[in-house]
Parts: sequence; C-alpha cells; structure tokens
Amino acid sequence: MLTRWGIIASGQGANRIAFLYYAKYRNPAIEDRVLLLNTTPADLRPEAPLEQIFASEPELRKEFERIRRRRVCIFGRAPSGAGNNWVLGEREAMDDYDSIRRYIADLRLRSSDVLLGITTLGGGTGNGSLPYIIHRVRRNPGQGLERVNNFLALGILPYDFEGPQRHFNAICGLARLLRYEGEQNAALVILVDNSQVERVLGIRRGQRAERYHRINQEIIRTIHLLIAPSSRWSRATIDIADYYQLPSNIGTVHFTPCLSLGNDPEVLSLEAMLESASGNAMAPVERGTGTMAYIVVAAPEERVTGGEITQEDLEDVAREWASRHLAGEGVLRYTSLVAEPGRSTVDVLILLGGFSLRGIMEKSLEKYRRFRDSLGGGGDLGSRIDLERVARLEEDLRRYIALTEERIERLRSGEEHVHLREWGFSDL
Amino acid sequence: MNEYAVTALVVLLTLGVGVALLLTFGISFVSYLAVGVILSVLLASLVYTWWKSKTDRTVVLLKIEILNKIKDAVEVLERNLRAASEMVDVEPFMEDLAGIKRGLISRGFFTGEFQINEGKIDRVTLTAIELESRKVEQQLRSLESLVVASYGEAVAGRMQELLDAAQMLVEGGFSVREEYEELRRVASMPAASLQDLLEKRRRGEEQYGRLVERCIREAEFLLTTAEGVADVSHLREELERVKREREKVESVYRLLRVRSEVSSYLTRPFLEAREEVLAYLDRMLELSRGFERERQVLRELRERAKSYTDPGQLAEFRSIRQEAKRLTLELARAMAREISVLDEELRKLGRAVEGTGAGGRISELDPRREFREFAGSALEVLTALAADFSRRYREVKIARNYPAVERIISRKLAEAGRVSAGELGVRYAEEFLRLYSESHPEAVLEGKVLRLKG
Repeated sequence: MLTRWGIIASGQGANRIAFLYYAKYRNPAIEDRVLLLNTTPADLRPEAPLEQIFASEPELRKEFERIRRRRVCIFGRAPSGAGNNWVLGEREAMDDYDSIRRYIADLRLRSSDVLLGITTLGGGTGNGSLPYIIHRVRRNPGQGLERVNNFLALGILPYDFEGPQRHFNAICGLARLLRYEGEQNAALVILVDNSQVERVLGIRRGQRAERYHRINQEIIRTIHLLIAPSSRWSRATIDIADYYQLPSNIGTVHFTPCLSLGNDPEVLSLEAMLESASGNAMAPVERGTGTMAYIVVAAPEERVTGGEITQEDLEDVAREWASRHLAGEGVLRYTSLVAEPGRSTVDVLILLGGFSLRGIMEKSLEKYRRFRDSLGGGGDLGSRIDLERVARLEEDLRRYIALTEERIERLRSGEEHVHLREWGFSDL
Repeated sequence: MNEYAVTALVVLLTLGVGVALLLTFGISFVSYLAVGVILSVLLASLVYTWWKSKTDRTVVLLKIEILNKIKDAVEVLERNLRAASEMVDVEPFMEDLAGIKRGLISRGFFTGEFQINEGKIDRVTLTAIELESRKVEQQLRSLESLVVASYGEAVAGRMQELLDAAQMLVEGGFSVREEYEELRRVASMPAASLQDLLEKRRRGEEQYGRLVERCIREAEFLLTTAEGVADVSHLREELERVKREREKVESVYRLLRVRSEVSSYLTRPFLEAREEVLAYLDRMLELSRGFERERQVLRELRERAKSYTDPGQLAEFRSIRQEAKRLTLELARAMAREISVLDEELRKLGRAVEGTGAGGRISELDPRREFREFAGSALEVLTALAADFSRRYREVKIARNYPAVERIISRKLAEAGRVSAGELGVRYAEEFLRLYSESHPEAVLEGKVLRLKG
C-alpha cells in the first residue's frame, strides 16, 4: 500500500516551500495533508508569506484558497509574532498547542503515516515551534491525535552572511531537532544550507533576486524524490522505517540531500550521475565522512522497462560509489530505482547521513558564541532566553557531535560493524 | 360531444314536460306518454347513428389502407419469389400465391386486375376486412416460411461455393485476403426472411465479383510483365475467357492455372524487384536512426516485402514501392524539421551552426519518378540529412551536458590531478575533455588524459 505522507511547515520560509510542493506536485502520497503554521501577524492575511509566489504564479492563489480554511493554522498571541526569538516561538506553540493539535488531527494521520516537518532554523516561529511540536506528537500528542512516530524534520540553515542571532537560533534549533528534553526528537533531521545550495547552483551576485525561488525549487524536488521510493513506480521500496530506524539506533540521524537533476541518460552513465550528485551536497560536508546513504534514482519509465537502467545496475554502481565516497565504505546503504512515466531525464538524490558536522558548525559557531555571550538574561518571562537551557542544548549538541565523530572514526578504522553487532546482527 | 349534449337536453326536457303533465293530467296519462317518448328517442338515436356512419369517410379510408397493405404484401412476396426463381423452383409457391389472390378477388375486395374494389367495400364492414387481412397475413407468412426453407438452403450452398472458390484464389497466391474476409463476413450474416436471403446473396455475389476482378487485374499485370521474357499468348486467351465467365466458379481453376504458369517465367524479375526494395528499405533504416516512429513503419514495410517469396506476388511490389516513396518523403521532412529545431537550440546555447543544412534538397524528391531513379536521388538526400542531423544532435548533447560534466571533471582533477576519458563515464568523453582544456588554462589534454599543469 502507498505510504501516506503529511507536511507540517512552520514559519514563513517553510510555508512557501510546503505550499509550493503541495500546489505543484499534487502528490497522491500527500493529497491535501499539508499544514501551514504561522504566528499572529499573519492572522488577518494568512496568504502574506506566499505573496511572492502569487506574484510570479497567480494561478496558485486558487490552490491556496482550497486549503486556506482547514490547512492554515495561526497560533500565538504576541502582536508581532516571534520576532526571531525561538524561545517566544516555542512558548506560543506550547500555549496554543490545543489549537495546533486540532489542525494536525484534521490531517487524519494514522500511526504508520509519515510527517515531514519543515522549518528555517535562523528564525523564531518555525525554529521555536517545530521541535516542540515534533516532541509532543511523537511522545504525548494529546486527545484526538494518534502518536506519529515517523516524524522527520527538514531544517534550513541560514546564509553565511546573516547576523549572529540567526546563527545562534540555528545552533539551538538544530540541537532541539536532534534532542528534546534529553530524548531523541525528530526521527530523521535533513539539513539544507542556503549558502551551500547557492554555491552548488552557481547563483551569482546578479541573480540573487531569484535566489529564494531557486533554493525552494531544489528543496521541493528533494521532498519529491524522498517520497518517490514509496510510490507505485518504485522498483525497490525504501520503507519509511528504513530511513530512520537504524540511524536512530546508531545514534546519528542527520542527513543532507545531494541532488543531481535533469541528467541526460544518453550522455551520462549512472556512475557519472552519482558522481555529479555527490558533488552537490546541500550542506557543507567534509569529503569521506558520510557513514550512511540512501540513493533514489528517478528515471524515464521506458528506459527502465526497456532494461537500459535496472535496479541491479544501480546497486552495483551504488556499491562502487560508496566504496569511494563513504567513510570505510559506509554502514548503511539503500537504493531505489523509480520508473516515472512521462519523464525524459534522470534525477538522482543521495541522502547522505552521519557525516561530520564540522562544516556546518564551523560557519556558525563564532556568531553563535558572540550572540550567546551578549545575552544578559533579561526580557519577559515568556520570551527570556534561559542561559542554563542554552548550556544544556550546547551540551546535547557536543555529545551528538562527539558520537558522530566517533562513528566516522570507527568506520574509517575498519570497525564499521560494531554497532550493528551490538544491535544483535551477525556479520554483514 | 354533440350526442351527449343532445341526450342530456332531451332527458331534462322530458323530465320537465313529464312533471308538468303529471301535475295537469294525472299518472295514467303521463305513463303512456313517457313510454311513447322513450320509444321515440330510441328510434331517433338509431336513425342518427345510421345517418352519421353514412356520411363519415374515416372508416372507408381505414378499409382501403388495410386492403393496400394486403396488396403490398402479396406483390412483395410475388416479386421476391420471382427473384428466388433463379435458384429454386418456385412454381408451387406461385400457385399458392395465385390462390390467395383469387380468394381476395372472389370475395369482392379486389378487382380482376388485383386493384382495390372501392365500389364494393362500402357494403363490407371494417371488422370483416380486418379479419380477412389477418387471415391473408397468416397465409403469406406460412407461404414465405416454406420458400425461406427451400431458398435458404440454396443460398447457403451458393455462399459456400463462392467461399471455397475465393479461398482457392487466396491459397493460390492472389492478394485478395481482404476481399475474402469481407466475403466471409457477408456469408455469415444472419438472414431470417426471404428479403434478407435475397440481399445476402446479392452482396455475396458482388463481393465475389470484386475479388475475381482483383485477381484478373493481378494476372494481367503478371502476363504483361512476363511478355518480355516468354510467349504467354495462350495464357492471355485463358484470361480473356475468365473475363467473359467471371461469375462461374470454374473460372477459378483457369485463373490459378494462368497465375501458376506465368509465375514460372517471373522468377528473375521477382527476385530483382524484391532485392531492390529490400536493399532500399535497409538503407533507409540505417539512415533513420533517432526517428523511432518512422523506423517502426519502415520495419513493418520491410517485413511485408520480405514475406513475399512467390514470383506470382510480383504485383505486390508496386504498392510497396509506392509506400516506400511516401515514407521517404515523410522521413526527409521529419529530419528537416528536427534539424531546424536543433539549429534553434544550438543558437540558444550560443553555438555556431555549420552550413544551412540539407533541408532544401527535399524538393529533389519527386515520387512521380520511376522507383529506381527516385531511390538513387532519395538516398543521396537522406544521407545528407542524416549527417546534418547527427552532427547537430551530437553538438546539442555536448553543449547541454557540458556544465554537469565540467563539474565532474573539476572534482576528479582536484582529487587526482588527472582524469582520463574512460574514467569520466560519459558519452563524448574526449570532446568534453577537449572543451574543458580549452576553457581551463590550468589543465592540459594529453591524448585522452586531462592533467593539471605543474
């Protein structure tokens, strides 16, 4: 049976991505299970975050009208929203959780369905609310809502040039998506870095007006490929549990997409396509530190049925690719070939996981420290950034990073199967 | 409506007068008067009804209509019986039909010339005519069912005879498979009435006639072709006889004999024609790479040409040559269209377009020319178009894919300081390496290996 997916997008940037994906792809796995969350300034005009989209594609306004009443939830009471303060965003979500819960319940999800939460990590609303909502829905969803264990998160990291507060928010947000109140939070955390995507897309200064649009397009294609292996056209299904179960047990659950789109199968071999994708990681990844990879290849149906591209070929090429690109050949690897009707090119998604977070932390740590050190513990009770909590988050993240580095080292040194043996598996 | 009003008025008047008389003259007088009045009214009603029926023409028209129907049915059956008389003896049925007609005349419904006797039908009630109509209808139905049983068998026999003859012609190598299938369809048509049977036979004969006509034309073509290599005058005479007696099933044997004998003189022309067409189609298939729709049609035509192995099928190559000419033009136009699309794309990609293309040469292809002549010039034009197309296709593929391949080359160079064409895993690898070396001064191409300088 087709796996059903739902999307919860909190904050303006995430709203745009989720709405675009819903309106453009009309994926039968999603149907209309998309929920846009935002705080009070959007109360009177919930379409405000989407005006940019409507300006270039006015026909999408109709699509928005279809979901406006049941799929747009405005929460919180602060007159100016969260104001880039994640603590306030979280507080608003806590206070209005009953209201948010009713909207989520209206998505009519079953415990076996998958939820994908989307947020930008530099802001206050989504960054504050989404980790809390994931925590509640996975642990204690409340009346009328089934526990949804398959809750994945997609976090978008701020641009390199953005101010210290945004990077402070990003580090705190990342820590809370990974762990919340001492427990693993999202089943899987997919990270996308705005500046890195710009570099990959080769967006130059003159093109920056369209930067958001192009980055969003890349993200929605990632979402589409992420869902594709559970579609009926898939030649080898990657079950949703495959995505997160073993990473959870191994202890490292962060991933980043590496995309290579519109490949010409007449010119590029599968090897070249994977090679091309691995150079397009959507977050800074130190080469050879990835420990896990899910590879999804969406190819023209006639080339798959004609035997030009097969699941077996893909497995062989993926094995060869892993031996050259993953730490110690990696510990997990799934591949799925999707034969999509009506397409003429090949899209490749490598969901690369367990890599060293050094690249991501490097660009934010200094700004993070600067902002943290400037905090004096003032502000209203509801919006005050509690330094002790920040210290706890920092500690959680340090431990997570240490675990990740240890796993990479073990794999590099050839002890790659230790964790699976501890899990009870015999030799792989 | 008038009758009801008059009756109501009379009743009311009678009651009123009755009451007045009762009061004036007493019960006994009124009783006599009432009985007298009622009797008078009844009498008046009868007189009125008789008068009304005498003046109303509707009933007369109805009688005429029924009798017309009887007349038509009798005449149709008579006509059909005459038509059926070609195959079965219909005399006894004709006599029965004449008996029915005589009965109708003797009862005064029809004149001796079997025309409706309007002068006499006034004296006959409508009911009587309706009863007569039903009786005659029943008699005609019984008579027709007897004819259908006899004629149906004869028609079935004739149809089988035509089918057998047609099948022999098909098996004898004449290209009349389609006509034969149509004849089979006609022969299997259901026919419940005499009219249906007559129609079925007519269509069967017509279809068989078309089939034989096609065989005659085919045989004529073979004879004309063979006249150049042998004396076939005796066969020509046979064919003339077939033309005169084409409706006879026996002509089939003559046709088969003509075809079989003439075929023995045609082996060489047949093999030449077959070889010529197949060679042309093979070359077209080679030149049509990248045009899958056209190739599919070409492959089907080639299979058809290849399936003809009997010299008697020489005539088939006329239509195959025509089809090959049509496909040549179709392919040439498709190639020219695609070349122009690729030119446009190359312009958009900022690449120079070499030459003006061979599209203008399509006008050299004249399908009215003899096949050999046409094929020679067509292959020249197609070769030029195919070369134009493949050059542009390659250029577009390289231009479109260069950005992706460039990134791969850069990464590989950064990793190992060198990359060979084989390691790239892409088509046109050497061309990509050459392009890279031209736009990246830090890299140098040595044979099929690109290296970082220094």
